[in-house]
Amino acid sequence: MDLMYTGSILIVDLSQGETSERELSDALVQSRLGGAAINLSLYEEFKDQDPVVIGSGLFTGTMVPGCALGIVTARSPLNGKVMHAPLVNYLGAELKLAGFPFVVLHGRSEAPSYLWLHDEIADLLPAQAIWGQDTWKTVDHIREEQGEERIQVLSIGKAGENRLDQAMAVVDYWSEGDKVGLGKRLGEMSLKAVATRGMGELEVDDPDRTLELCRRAMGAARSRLKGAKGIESLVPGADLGGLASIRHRDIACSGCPWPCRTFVKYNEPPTVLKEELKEPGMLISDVSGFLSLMDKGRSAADAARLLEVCARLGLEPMSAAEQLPLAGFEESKARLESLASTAFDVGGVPSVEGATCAEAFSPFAPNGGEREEIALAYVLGICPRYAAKVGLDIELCKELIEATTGLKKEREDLLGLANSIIR
Amino acid sequence: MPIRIDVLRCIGCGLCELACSYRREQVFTAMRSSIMLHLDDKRNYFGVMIKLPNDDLVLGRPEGLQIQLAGQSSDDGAGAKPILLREACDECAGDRPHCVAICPSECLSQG
Repeated sequence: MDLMYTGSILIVDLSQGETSERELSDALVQSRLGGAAINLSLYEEFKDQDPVVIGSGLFTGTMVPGCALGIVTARSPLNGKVMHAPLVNYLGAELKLAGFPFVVLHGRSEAPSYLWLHDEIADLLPAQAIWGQDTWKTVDHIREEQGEERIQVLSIGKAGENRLDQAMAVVDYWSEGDKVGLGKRLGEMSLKAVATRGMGELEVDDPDRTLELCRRAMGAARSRLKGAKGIESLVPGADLGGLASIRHRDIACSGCPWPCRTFVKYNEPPTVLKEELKEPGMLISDVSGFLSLMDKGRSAADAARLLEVCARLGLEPMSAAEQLPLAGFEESKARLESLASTAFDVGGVPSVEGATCAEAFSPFAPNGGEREEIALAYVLGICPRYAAKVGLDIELCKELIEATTGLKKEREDLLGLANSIIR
Repeated sequence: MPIRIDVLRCIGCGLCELACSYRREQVFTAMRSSIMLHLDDKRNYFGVMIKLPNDDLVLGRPEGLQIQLAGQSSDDGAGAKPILLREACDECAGDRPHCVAICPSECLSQG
């Protein structure tokens, strides 16, 4: 497919240490568009190998508002079901622009390895130097080894290496959307990380019309968002304690007008604007995890510090928070470190109140939104948070699909596709 | 009219890069833009830089704006090298600049 995608489908057989590529056919894009829908088709094809499929949506990496989304589709070890988890930040866009819009992982690497995707080249590289390291050191190592600051990294920490149910796959340095045990799945594959940097280009069918529609969508988004920002805009009304005293800046993901994530500084004053400390604090994106860690009367600063510990260990913070004692920071930190080595019953996928399609999607707060709209967002590569907040204008999506790919889709076609991934 | 940068409004979305590249080549990429986002995500240090027609760079840093003269190198590894190889900003030849039009946070403006 030459429009809206570049490159090919990558198949990685970790047992053999081999990669192969296959054309992303027009027929597949015409019928399934992308994102979770194509992921699911690939999952079914490789079902016997129990694959982990990583993909990008049709609009991922463009100027369609909220289009940061990459999607992981795999059997969750927590409930045995095939689940979709969101990948945010710049990871989805970089994956797509690296020339591998879809990646199928299966098998188990004999020795720890990591996958490096760039310039339509897939390198399966040894990971002995980073196996045993936390996720922050892993990201630093890969960026230094490959010489690029903007490489995006999905990695596991100690909990994933130990193949525990409470493991979480971490995007760059941050706890994000994996609440379904993907970290354990990658650990079972002895795959420390997937790293990617994209320098490709996405062509469209009608450039002028595409630009006009993107601008119209952005205008509508801005008027609906009304300047909303920070994690308080994710969870209006939640008690965020002393967040204001550590808030640094609010930031967005690739192509998103809504800076719904808040960076907090607790190792230096939050007012510091210069590049001073290398590790001044933590980006709070996983607001469910953060709120869980704030339970039992912890301050926002201590909760953020513990969220950093979880991210470094690749430990899902909601499950871990339930195991923490009524104790101070140091004891809680020590307990988290032990939880990255000790199996416990996590009780399934963490429960988030009002989660939309909890049977199919990793709960990525805030939740809400119409089921079919959220599912369609996972196909198109639009962040489910954004879709829940702003809404998904299906008529505008139809126009954007036609302008970018030339494909004419009816509302019923799109809703049918959405329903096919949540049945 | 020159493009103004209010860096503390930047939210790091990168839409300016996409819009600039799109205007030049009508494809989605961040690789052809005259404006570039600088991201140091672990420090949450980010800003934008613009290449001017005389090859000077406007560096929009959180602590303030700075002009880096053509031929000078950045003193802090700010990653300006890729933009030096690209076309300079022509402010979209008199139209409202695409980066300004798309910027959702009013980090970029004109006047």
